Amino acid sequence: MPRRLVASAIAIAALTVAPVTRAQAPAAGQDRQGRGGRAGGQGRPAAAPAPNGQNENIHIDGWNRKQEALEATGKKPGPAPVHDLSGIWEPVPGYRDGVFASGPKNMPSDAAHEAQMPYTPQGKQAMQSHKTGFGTNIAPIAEINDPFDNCDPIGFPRIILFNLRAVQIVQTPKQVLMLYQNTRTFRTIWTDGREIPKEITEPRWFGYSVGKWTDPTTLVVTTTGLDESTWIDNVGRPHSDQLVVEETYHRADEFNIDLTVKITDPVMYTQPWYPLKNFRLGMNSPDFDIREMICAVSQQALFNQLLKNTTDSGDKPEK
Amino acid sequence: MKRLFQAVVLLLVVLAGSTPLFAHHGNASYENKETTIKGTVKQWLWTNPHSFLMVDVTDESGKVVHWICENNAPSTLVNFGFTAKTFKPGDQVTVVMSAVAKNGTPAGRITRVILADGYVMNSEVR
Repeated sequence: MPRRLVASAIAIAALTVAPVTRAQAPAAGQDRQGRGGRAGGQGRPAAAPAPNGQNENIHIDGWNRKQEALEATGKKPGPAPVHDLSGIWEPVPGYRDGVFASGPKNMPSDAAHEAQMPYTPQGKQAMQSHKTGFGTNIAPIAEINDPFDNCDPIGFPRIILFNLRAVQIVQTPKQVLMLYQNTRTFRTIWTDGREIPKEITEPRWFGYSVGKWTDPTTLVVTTTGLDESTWIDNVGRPHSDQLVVEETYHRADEFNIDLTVKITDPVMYTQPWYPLKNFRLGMNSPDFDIREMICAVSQQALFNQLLKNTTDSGDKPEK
Repeated sequence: MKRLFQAVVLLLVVLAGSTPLFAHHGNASYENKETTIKGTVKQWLWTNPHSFLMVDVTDESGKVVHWICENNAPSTLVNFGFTAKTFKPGDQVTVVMSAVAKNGTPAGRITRVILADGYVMNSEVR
């Protein structure tokens, strides 16, 4: 095995298994604003000094309160309520399980899964033109042409297939509203019986969505009318204006929703494919505050400048 | 023995691949090479999609090198106790990076930062 590969493997492995401990978590609801607020502005968590001289991995919400999915706190879920998805949800068991940097869970972009992707010739060509940060089309930073790298709206379905973090679901008599942590974006799903538009005169970043309860605990959402400039996921899967996305939200019990996503686009794909199958979202405490996660144009420009100019072009920074 | 070693390496690579540390861009411009620097914080940029710790390192000849040390997104780092006020200009830090720019420019990805008093701020994800 080449020495360089072994060294790289060990470096990656060391990253993965590095000792992040979970010592002495404060009680739920305890004020954690002291974290990072040590006198002098250093990074030590003042509220809960770690005994081993290093920081901890404690999931906190936007108000710096410790949070866990309700089921992880030991509470037993009751039965699924009827026609009700309302609550504040996050991927479980890990709150980062929905980051999907390398592609959605059931169709990541690696050689094996790309071989399964049912691209049409046009779809294959479109995919190859996308230079990505992750997946089989990974490119040096300066060559990436991801529209989200300019803070274009993330769009649908990428909002649920990349950085799916906290999402609050709110129901009204006629709508299901989804409020996402990532990019602080919302979607409106009409449940008043209307059909999706027969003719789309104005494509939208988040399309046109209707939802129907197919049984007491399952909401099926159909979305179309999507802007063609977005990518389906973080690894550059393309779509046309013929894209139809079907999301199935099955409330498994009081504390859990299983999400399945089906992609249909006859221009880009010869048959439907499933980026997510029964991906689990767990209910959080109702006092969970969803933190901001915003793509700010000025910050993104700084990011692009720092990385593109320093790591790719040879335009080295001042030394 | 060699085979066992290869198997262990392969297993670790698979494990490592399961949780990308950085979500917005990949590793095409970096090479995995653990690098440690000691220096003075010039700036702590608490920004999306990733944060940056700018550190000035002075070598024995007195030459100052401006390092750009990339860290995770704030929404991930908050769970490790980082805040927008974790570092301030003038702080003395030791920065351990897992990867550095392939083209030799002083830029890398942070694994952990060791504060002046020895306290360790890891940036790993679960």
